[in-house]
Amino acid sequence: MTVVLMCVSLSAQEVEKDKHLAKLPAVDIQTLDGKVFNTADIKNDGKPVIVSLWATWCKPCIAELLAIADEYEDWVEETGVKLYAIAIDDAKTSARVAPFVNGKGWEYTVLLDVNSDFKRAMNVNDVPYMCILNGEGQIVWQHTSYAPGSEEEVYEVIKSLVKK
Amino acid sequence: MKKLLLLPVLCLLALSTFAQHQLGNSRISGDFGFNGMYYIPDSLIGAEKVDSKVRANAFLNLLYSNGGFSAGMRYEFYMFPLIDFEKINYKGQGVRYFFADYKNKFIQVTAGNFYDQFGNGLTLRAYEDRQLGIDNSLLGARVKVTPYKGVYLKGVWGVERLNFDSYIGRQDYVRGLDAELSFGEMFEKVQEAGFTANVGASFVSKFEKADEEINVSLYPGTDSATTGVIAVDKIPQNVATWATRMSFGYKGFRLDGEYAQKMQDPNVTNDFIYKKGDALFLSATYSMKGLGVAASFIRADNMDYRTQRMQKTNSLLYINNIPAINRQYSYQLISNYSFASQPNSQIGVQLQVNYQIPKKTKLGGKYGTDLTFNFSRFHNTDQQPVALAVDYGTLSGTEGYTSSFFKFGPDLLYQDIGFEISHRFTKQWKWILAYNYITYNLEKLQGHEGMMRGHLVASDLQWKVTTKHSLRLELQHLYTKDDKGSWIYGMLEYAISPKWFISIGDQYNYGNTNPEMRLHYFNIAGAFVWNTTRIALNFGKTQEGILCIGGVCRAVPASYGAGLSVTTSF
Amino acid sequence: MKKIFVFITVLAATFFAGCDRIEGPYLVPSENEQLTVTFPDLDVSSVYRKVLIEEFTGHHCSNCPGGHQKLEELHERFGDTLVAVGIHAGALAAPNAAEGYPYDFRTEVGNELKQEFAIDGIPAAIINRYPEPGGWGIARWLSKINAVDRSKPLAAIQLINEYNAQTGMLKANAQVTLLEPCSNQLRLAFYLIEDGIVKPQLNGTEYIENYVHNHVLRASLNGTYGTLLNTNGYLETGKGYTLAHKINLSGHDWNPANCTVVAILYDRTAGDVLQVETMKVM
Repeated sequence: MTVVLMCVSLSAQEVEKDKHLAKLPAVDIQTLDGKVFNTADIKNDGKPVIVSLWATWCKPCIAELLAIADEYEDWVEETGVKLYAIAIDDAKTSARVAPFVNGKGWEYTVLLDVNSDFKRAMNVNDVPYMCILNGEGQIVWQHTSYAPGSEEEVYEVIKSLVKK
Repeated sequence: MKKLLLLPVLCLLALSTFAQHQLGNSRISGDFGFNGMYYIPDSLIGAEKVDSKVRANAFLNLLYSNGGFSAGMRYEFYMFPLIDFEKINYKGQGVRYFFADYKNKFIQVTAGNFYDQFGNGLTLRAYEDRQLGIDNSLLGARVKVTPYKGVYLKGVWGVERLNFDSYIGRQDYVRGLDAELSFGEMFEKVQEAGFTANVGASFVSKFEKADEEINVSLYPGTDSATTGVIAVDKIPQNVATWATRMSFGYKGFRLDGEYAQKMQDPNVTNDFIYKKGDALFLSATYSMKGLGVAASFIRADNMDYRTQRMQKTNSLLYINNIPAINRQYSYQLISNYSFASQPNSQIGVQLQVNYQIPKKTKLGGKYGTDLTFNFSRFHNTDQQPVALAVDYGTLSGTEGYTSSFFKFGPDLLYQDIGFEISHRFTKQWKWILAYNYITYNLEKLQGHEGMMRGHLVASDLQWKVTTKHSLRLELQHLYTKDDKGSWIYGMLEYAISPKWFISIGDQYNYGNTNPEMRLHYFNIAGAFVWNTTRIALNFGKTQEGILCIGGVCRAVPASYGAGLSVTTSF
Repeated sequence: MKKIFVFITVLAATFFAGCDRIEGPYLVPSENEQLTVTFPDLDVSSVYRKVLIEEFTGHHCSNCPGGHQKLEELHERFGDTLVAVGIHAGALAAPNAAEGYPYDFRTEVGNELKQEFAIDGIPAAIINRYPEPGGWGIARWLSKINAVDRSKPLAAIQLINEYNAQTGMLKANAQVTLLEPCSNQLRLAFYLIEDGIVKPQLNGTEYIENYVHNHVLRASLNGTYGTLLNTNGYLETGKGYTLAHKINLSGHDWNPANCTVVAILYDRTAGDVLQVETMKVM
């Protein structure tokens, strides 16, 4: 028990210096047509990237992606941002992700994390989870949960990244 | 054993210190979760007095990574777990998950605990669901090889986790092989033509020592006292499953299929029959901008596949997972009537259509209108007892039954006809309205009597007052004459983006045939979110029922009290 | 290439080691396995063919006592060569407390037999399980019994009961010897019947409070249809096949002293009882 506690305090300290350097872990997930995709390949030519972890059964996740969908065209035009929507749906529902996404008319790049490997590697407990990568692929902002309006904050972060 | 389990912690600690000082590329991350509750007894709703009023689940994940190398562990403290976890015996503390993993372009090697899935999971699916208390990770080793482009091979060997039991003395293990070919990746011409085509095959085998004969009561339900015995040498120690699968895609069209078969596996869930099990999963989807159609079919018969033949607790020791293909809802009032996948007997279909009325049209409005239609229907499989089973008055110790493959069995298990419309009127106002007609077989799925037939109307209205402040009102009405009768539910949520949430809700069983049981289940909740940290408080009552996530369900006892939950990642 | 070969070898090895194939029969009835009695040598000359009459009746059935009386007459005529089993099943056998018939004579076995022989009206009887939908009326019983060829025995059943009065556990042991060849599958069913049950009965329009019910079917020791002998049901002539089953008599209002085990050897396919034998419990 004490060892574990030591471990916590130690890692908590260490993390502080490292945090701003963190990049996405390299994990094999899938594209909608069943090809293997490595998350290290999430890139946008030096422009910011939004990564969202969601699921077809998660209501707030969908609400968040729908809210962004309404603004997405404008965002892309102004900042060149790209959104990767990674569905953690498992085998039961993963086949329904593509029709769902098309049904909603989303323009995002949608990926499948069927085995939750990426979710685990990102230490994500619950969806919705969202993070923003700067042009170098470093995680500069992360957030769990969704409240209507929080997409505004996402946009603020992206704009600040582009200005830099 | 305790020392042994601390070993990975020490390893990680040493590694991390080493890494921090020696290598620039290393990274430590982790997450922490705490879920506690103070219980108040309430005899009316059936919340029993618990021996320890304050209970909590807590865990800490640590993950170290450096280039292709990663290692991690989870410490769990469930000594006084929440009562629903206590009920499924998820109780204890310690490290039951740790691993080290190395990966490059050609090979990935994992030692320790791992999660994995072959195909759609019909033969193997090691996964976790923390809310349900399911952790089927395997402790052992895994190798993944990519010898050529588009060729994926996997081999696994491991002992399956069983709550907080130490792995010592276990006499069962799982081994498996999986191969997948992706023609799109192997041949550029296929990809250029716009096709994707994958085929795969898997083979899984479990070993469990057989050292005790199985006693069977013949003619159960009659006055006969005759018993029978299945001798030790008649119990298979190695039980295999195999499956083949394919998927094919062209433009917006995609077809998936997998067929699996399980060899002789007499176990407590199938009444010790020697029939082979089989499962077929088919899914066809078509989508284009604004339209998505998904149809799927599943048949599973005698496919409950676990590492221990005497295990029947709902969530424990599954090797495979038969998907419940029905649409999953998060509506409060029908959470108790969620279909749970029946690996030993289910045949069913599911159809879902999503359509978006285009933006800037008369019906679509400025933002478009989303329509969703859903239909699903599940029966048990056709089962005709073999002559010997009729003779013995029991299926046990016989070939069990014969089954006509595509025939729907006599019992309807679940049916759902649903329609949902979602429309944004203005930037501020959004409304989702849903109607569902649900038929749920209480007898087969919950062991109570009869069928539940209910109409659910659900409304979800959102008002974004300002950019930071929003209100959400959820109203639901379940109209039924069956089971506990009709319910009504209301919930108002106020959110100050992005940090604060407050909600107040009440669920009222106004239609209960027993006037004394027309109870209210109120709930007040608040949450604070700061980046990846979420702190939530709630106070209220929960009705006795079923919690289902993705077609996997477990019982939840009634409870009343105050809860605190904290999750964070770093 | 070598790598692929190694891979395939490993694969094949896992396949063959990874799956056990078990041949049936998987289950053995324990009592049969541990037969605790020895049967005396069979004296074929003393064996004669007995006839089974299964009478469907009910305590709320005004004409049924007529059937009971007919059975008494037949018993006097045929002695122990006629074995009767009284099956209380159907609406007229259902308890009816309001009219003074609170007792439930019905059994799971009886209900299934009523279905098997498509009995609609009572009194009716089935003789030697000869298929006759609805059964025979009282007037035909004698002629139908006479129609059974009793010139030579087809099979012999030796029956030994072991009863433990303390625990109430009864074990019936039987040895079946086929005397004439039979190409159909044969089953042996052990039924338990009880005599001397005093309960009300309707007779015409008369309510008889202390009516004596005899040979009432109480239960089966091995299911409604019994068990296939020799696992597959096919027997050789002259060879002894044993079968044993158990029942617990405690926990019921049965009087063990009045109970009898009836062993029925029959051919379900053709609808014929080859032999029937009885043995008192104690």
